[in-house]
Amino acid sequence: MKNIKKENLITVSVFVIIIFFFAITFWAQKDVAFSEQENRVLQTLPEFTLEKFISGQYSKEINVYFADQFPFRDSFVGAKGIVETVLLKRENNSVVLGKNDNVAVRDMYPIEGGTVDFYNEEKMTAIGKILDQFSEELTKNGIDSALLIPPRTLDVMKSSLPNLFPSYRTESAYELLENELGDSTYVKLLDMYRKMYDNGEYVYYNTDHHWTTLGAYYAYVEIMKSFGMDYYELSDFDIETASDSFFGTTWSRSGFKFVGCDTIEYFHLKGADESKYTSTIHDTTYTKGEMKGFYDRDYLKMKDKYSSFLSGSNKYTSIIKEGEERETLLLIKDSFGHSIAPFLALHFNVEMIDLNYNNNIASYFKTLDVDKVVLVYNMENVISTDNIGKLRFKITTEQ
Amino acid sequence: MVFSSLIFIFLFLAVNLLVYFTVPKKLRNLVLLITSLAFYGWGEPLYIALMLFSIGTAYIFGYFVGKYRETDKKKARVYLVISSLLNLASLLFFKYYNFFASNLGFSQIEKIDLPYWLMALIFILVLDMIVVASVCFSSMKKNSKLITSVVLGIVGIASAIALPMMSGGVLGKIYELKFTLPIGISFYTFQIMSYTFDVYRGDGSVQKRVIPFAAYVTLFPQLIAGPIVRYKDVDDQLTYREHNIDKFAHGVRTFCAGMMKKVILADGMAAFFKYLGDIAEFENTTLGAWLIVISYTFQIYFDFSGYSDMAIGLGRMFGFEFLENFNYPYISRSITDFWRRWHMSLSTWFKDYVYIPLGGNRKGLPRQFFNIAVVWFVTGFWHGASWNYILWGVYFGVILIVEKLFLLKWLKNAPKVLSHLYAIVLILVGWLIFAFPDMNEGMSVLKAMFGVGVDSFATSGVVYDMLRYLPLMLICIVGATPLPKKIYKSLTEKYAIARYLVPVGVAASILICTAYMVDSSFSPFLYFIF
Repeated sequence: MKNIKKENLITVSVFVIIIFFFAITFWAQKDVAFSEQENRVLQTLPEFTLEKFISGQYSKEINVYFADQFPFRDSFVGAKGIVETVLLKRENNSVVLGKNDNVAVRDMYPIEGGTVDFYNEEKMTAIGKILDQFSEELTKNGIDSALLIPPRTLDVMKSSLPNLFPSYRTESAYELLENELGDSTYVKLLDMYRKMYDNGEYVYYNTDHHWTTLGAYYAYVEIMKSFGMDYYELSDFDIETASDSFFGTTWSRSGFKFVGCDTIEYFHLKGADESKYTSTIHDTTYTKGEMKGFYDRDYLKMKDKYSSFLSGSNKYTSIIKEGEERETLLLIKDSFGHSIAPFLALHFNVEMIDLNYNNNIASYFKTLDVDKVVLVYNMENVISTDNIGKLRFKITTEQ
Repeated sequence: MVFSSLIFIFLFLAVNLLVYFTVPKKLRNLVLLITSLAFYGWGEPLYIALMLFSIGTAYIFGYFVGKYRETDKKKARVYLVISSLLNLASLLFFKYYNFFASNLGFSQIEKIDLPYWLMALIFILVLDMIVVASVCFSSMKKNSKLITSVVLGIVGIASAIALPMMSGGVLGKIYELKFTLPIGISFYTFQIMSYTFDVYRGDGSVQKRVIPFAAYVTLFPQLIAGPIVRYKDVDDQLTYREHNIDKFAHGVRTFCAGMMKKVILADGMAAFFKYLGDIAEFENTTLGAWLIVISYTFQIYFDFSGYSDMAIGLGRMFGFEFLENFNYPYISRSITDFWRRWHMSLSTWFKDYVYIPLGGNRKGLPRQFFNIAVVWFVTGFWHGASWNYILWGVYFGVILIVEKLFLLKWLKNAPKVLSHLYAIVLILVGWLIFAFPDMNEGMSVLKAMFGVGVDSFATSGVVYDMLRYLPLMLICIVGATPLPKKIYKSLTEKYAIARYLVPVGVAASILICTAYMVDSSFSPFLYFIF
């Protein structure tokens, strides 16, 4: 060993130590089967078979295994978020970091062979037409309706987004859709939420892609107004803070670990006995089946706290109030519907169906005596799925 | 396996280093060979057979080329030709079969999956090779040996071509085949050929020991993306090379720099390039078109040179010294200059083994232009089995001829700004041809760059995304010049503290790159839709 430079020795040591530290830690630690952060099953050590190896499948699984079980995974994800911020990219994993640590998903959709934060123009027009016809069909059959396309967080928090952010893409998407709607029962929401957001009202979560309970309340008010019915004032409710440590999907995805958490609130109508309300989950693998009231508080202990509203996404849920004859409202929804349903259930028996899990919507009009219809379907899903197409049907009440 | 993956760094490299430096010195080449084969076969284990075939042919024919090169030049040449043809056959087949099939109008009949007959094909080729070998070593008369070898060589090539035609059971029906390209085949084929050539010319000695030879061919650092190491450059290192801390540290630094180039700069620019191309379908703007070309220009340079740096760095850790592959190509003042700085190991290869054997510049100007044309046609085609790569090669061939004729003299006397501008614009246009296998797409970007067919000059969306990537682009601009290296050199020479900051930088870059690699697999399943 002749006059080795000390700094070179340190360089080599640092390199070797880092590599072996993680290599050894990787094999020494126990595998984790599920990631709450990402809400998905992680790859565990794949089983070796010769067939899998020859086909190259084994190496693929090992690659995923390595990434999924890497030591200090969450810290590394956070570190990348910081580096991206330092590089002034303003975004990480398609989550925009706006002013005052406001975050929102800038969703990219696979359209026309690319992946873009845009929409298919013909599709938006077509969806507008379908909604218009659906509304007309309902009116023809004497059913009151309210059709809501809640905006995405990104659409609502326009004023907090970085300068020059292309919010015009949101506006033109809504415009295309609304141009087709004529005098249907569609309820406009975008400008209302923007105004509330700008006034500092907590209508959308920051770290999650849903509206808050307050946001859902305002949508409920709009629905009742459009039905020409009375609604409960905000002061009629007791507000319970169900969780003050809600880190939603946007937060997980962003890697911006410095962004603070959200609060989940439950609105309880003063003087009402929620145990009189029964929510029944039909036809799912979900075992609970039935619960009193609207909330499944087990979810509050987990990361996925928004699912405490009516136990998350299920194909078909009925909410009825004991000992009272009430009108039946069919709520066709995505997950935005979960937090609005408790408000609607104060007035109606709510039959809540998920547009993604149900293909034959018309059948519900045969089996149920539907008096009112509410559609709550987030802009995100409008752009990225074809589910609205399921609303193209004629209503027949014959069994 | 790629270098910028967790499994490479924290499993493959860790184990490799551990074993390599604990076994006795004479076993080190064997360790390299085994680990390199594992590296190569990681994604496609069956292709190891193909690799062994290539090594076997080159080894055996190289042996005979060496044997006869002094005594019987003609015979040596025959062996050289057979060896090269066999190696080229597998390259032609795997890389270009579908291209030829579709351009000759045979294809589009049916697409099929084919692991089984592929195995049969490889089997026949390997068998053919073994027979060749046994013929060569047998006590047959020299002339009959030669003839048999030629015949068997032809059988090998013919079987490579014929098998797919027959595979469907219907003779004469040609399929478009679905298989993955064996990784690095373009690189290691050239590397193997350089061996036989070097032996033939007497530039390198015959490697009689099969392990160092096989290790040279499969050497994992440069196996999949170069640099293409000529045999004569590592001939001595295969049998003797020095390992020490200083060299290892140098390797670590080079590796880390390359990894940062790849993970932070190239991958960042790649994401930008991809997005710009996609959004152009909806908002076609002049600014967007320029950014498409610029982002690609950065992506390809930092991707490729980053990868080369990682290879060179890894080579150093294992005691090898490879030649540099890039020398700041974007500061060129002419295209001639650019090709002396870009992917140098490839240009050198073509110069040594194609251009000069064709006569180079010694046979008069017309012949020289012909030679340039041939070289650039082949260079283009080497980059990919698609017309745009051929056009790309021809494009540079034409520019190089024009520069030789008169332009180079003008450029020398022109103001620096002008010659830099001239070079960079031609390079950008070159990448535009290169980036789009669908040439209509490339054409529409080119048009958009000059305002033809665009919706507007820019939209605020495009400007927003440009600003997001502006800091990264500025780093890329500086990073493409010799400035960072100059600063690094002068600082570490002058200040001890700077020297001690190097290990900190090394640690930071490994951790940062690891963070990016972990994150790239981080795919939150968002219960968005439901």
